[in-house]
Amino acid sequence: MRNVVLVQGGGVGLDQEQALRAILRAAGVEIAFEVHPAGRAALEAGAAEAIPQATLDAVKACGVALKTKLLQPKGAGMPTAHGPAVPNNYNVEFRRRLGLFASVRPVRNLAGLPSRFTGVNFHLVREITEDLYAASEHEIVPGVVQSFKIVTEAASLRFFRYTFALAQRLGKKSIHCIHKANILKLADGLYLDCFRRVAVDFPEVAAKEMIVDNTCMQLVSRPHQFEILAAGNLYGDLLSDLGAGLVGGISATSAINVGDGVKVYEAVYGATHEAVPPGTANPLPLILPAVEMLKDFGETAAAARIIAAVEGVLTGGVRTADLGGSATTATFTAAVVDNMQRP
Amino acid sequence: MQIVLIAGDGIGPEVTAAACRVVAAAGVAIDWVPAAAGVGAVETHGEPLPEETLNLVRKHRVALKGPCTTPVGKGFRSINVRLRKGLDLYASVRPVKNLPGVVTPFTGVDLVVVRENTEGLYAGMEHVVVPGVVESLRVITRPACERIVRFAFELARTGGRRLVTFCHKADVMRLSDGLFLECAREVADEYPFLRFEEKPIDNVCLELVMDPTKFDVLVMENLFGDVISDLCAGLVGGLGVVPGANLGTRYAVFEAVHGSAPDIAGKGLANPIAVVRSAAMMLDHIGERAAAARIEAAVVSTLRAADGLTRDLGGTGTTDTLTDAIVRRLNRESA
Repeated sequence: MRNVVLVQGGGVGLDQEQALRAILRAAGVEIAFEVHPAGRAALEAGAAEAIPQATLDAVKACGVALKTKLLQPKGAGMPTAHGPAVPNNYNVEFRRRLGLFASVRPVRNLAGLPSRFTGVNFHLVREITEDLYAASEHEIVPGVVQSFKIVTEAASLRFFRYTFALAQRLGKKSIHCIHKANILKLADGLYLDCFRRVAVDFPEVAAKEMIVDNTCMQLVSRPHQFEILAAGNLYGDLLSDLGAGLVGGISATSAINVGDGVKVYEAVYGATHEAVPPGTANPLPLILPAVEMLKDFGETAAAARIIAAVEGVLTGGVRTADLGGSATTATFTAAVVDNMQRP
Repeated sequence: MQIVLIAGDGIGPEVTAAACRVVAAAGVAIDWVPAAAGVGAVETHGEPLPEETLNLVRKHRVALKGPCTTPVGKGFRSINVRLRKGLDLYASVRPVKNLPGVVTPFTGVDLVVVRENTEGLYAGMEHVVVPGVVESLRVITRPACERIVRFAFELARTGGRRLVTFCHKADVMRLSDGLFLECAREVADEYPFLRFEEKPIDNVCLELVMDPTKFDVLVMENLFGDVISDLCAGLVGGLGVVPGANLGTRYAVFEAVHGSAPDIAGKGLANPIAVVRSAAMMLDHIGERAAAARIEAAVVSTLRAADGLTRDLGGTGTTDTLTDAIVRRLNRESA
């Protein structure tokens, strides 16, 4: 039996967890989840900090975690320069404290999920330690703010080594490095230079380069040309959401966040129970990362059965409210389980 | 009426000539004042954006511009960035609308992207802190934020649009986008009769490709605007069909945002529609609203009839056949 830390952020994460457990049971996969609350859920459970050290220690000790989206404290609004203090984004903080450096986002269609394009199948790999997300900024004089975009050789080389190795493992033939080096000659220039240096060691993978604005235009017109896109933190943030939109939105998303000796399979989407009433959430944002985890565990047959069942149910028109359907989390899950148990 | 014409490089001279023909056919007499920029200007003036060109725009206030290539590897800074800075063209405006005959997976798109043009990462302030560590500065100032958001609201108000969406990443860039967000809210307060919403830029990317019809006017910082402008162009068929403008308090430059396509330059194969529509925006800007509307209608009618279309639009025609088709419609109408 596999041990996995389940980082539970609360809200719809709780509904997603129940659905996942039922579906894994039906797939005959035994996983021992060690549940640790984090974010708003940890605070509400009486923890002193939103990301308890014990949770991080458990993830490091286990090496594998499945995570629902961490929620900000109740009533916390969008931060402004001079407004009330708002805690840092817990999800960004969580990745930073675990030293996660790459976020892999598979972008592919799910049969039965309406979308503008079909046959899309690429991976977006996002660097997640630096760029503008280093959050180094200051107000020089009132009304003049400067934020720093940081790019380092060390982080870029590590990121591209991981990305090329991933391409090799997945049997992908090309990587597009996404940049804006025509304007950011030093920062994106260094990033691009690291890409080219690492590419030399992987001659079987075609190393391609594309400017970020053109990439957006290409993605919304000819997404099938891509196999792997490697992007810095900010471009990767935008492109991964754009990618999700191409294949029908949040239901088809998952993130695999990678660090040294640690892998966290994350639900990209989550919400509070105030926003999405209990029992009505779409469980797919947690099912898909769990399926990616099963694949990495070598449980490919179970992973394929779950996806086939999900696609069967979506194609049959059973959908949760966010997809315009009337199914509850429980009825959707029951439909998936039922589909799997059919001979 | 004198207006500066920057023909540019590659297909630039062909497509801008087409635009001049169309403007004349729409019945507006313009005395075009030629000005150099691009690779050609390096040969004639020693630099890609001669001061003389900037001075001509300063004198005549308005310019129509074709694609210009920034020479690579000679230390030249981007012509477009310098033009925007030199003339303080602080607002980039990109109207994006589906056209008949240009089939994409998206329909009903009708929005305008307003991009702040002077700040953000595009100031080009970068340095190597120690070897292997680079810092680029993203500068955001209150006056620039206020004026671009106000510009977007004015564009919405005078253009009959109802919704302004401010796009940001304030949850991560709490000070810089946090300041921008404060300014946006303050300016929005002056326009209670228009709808205002604020959205994280990543959500905007997702929603634009899920359902672009729910957007109207989008306003944002320089880099975000660069990316979103091209994303939106992709929704309706790409840079070959969308017009663009860079506007400031004193000057206005209208331009197609596509490249100079050196591979087909001089062959008469280039699609002139982006520059023709930019010229229509220019006419609208100088008060020739009826002529501008007639050009738009002629372009739409030409596309609907698939008359004389160039190869990129699925036809077998040339720059001339497509321009002829548009001009014929304008002549017929005035006859």
